[in-house]
Amino acid sequence: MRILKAMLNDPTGEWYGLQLSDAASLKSGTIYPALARLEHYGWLDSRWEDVDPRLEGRPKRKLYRLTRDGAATARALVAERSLDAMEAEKKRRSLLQPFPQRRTT
Amino acid sequence: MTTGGVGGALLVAVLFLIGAIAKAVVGQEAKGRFKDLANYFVNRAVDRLPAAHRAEKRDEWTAELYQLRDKPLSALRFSWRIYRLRSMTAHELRAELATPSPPLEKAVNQPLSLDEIHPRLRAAIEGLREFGWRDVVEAMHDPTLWHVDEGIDVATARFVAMIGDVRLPPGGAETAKLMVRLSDAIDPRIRHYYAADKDSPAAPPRVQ
Repeated sequence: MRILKAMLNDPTGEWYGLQLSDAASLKSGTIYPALARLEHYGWLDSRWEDVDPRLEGRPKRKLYRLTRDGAATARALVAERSLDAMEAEKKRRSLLQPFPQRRTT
Repeated sequence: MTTGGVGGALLVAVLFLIGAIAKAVVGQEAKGRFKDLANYFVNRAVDRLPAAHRAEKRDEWTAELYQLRDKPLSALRFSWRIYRLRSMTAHELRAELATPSPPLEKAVNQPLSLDEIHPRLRAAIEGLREFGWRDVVEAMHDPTLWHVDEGIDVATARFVAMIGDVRLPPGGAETAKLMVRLSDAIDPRIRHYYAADKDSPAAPPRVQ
């Protein structure tokens, strides 16, 4: 969920693993099972950087991006979580309300 | 200043210099050791993965380690966590190998056969269930989303069999609405089951 939310900040952007960990506030190295799963669902797509390692002086990185399915699903899930949070807050507030006064006739 | 005072200051300065040189040398060696250990953890993690994914994951994690080349402790932590979660990563990659989704380039604006579209839908449904799925269509109000009425339009038993114990929304609804985004062009055999627009003539009649 945090990965999807982070990627929604830039839905057309491409991210490598460490970048996503930072953006999603996840510990580095813990993100890869989730990335594999999201790719399996068809919500993420990946590709290798289009660079020459010899010229760049570093290895190519694997980049991940949201697919259309993924972006739509991510928005829906974030909206649902927001609704859940709003409902939970409403419920919490209603519980704090004083009991309605009984009418005396 | 007394001779002793100057001598003392000189001694302190020399000791400080020796300490700084020793720290640099030891630090370099330690950095090298950390790097070796980090690579070791990555290689051990890769060994656990399905063979089809090993080379790719090794390249990916090596490239990530390179980003941390100036932070040996961070690199070690990174590689240790990869090593610790190697079984989980392997499990996810095996699942992908077992039920592959159609390639994205084929899915976009290309006809999908019923056999191809079911694994893709199944994968999407599993994903939604993973997140505690419920009907999110109304929350979205996005007319560009495609709606699939589970079990009504396409082989009910097959969908139920594929997705197992998906919970239906409360209220006794006969169908569960799922939000799945599909390609623009799909196999004509199932085209009439899906519509981009609820009011489109292509949309199947909805069972209430």
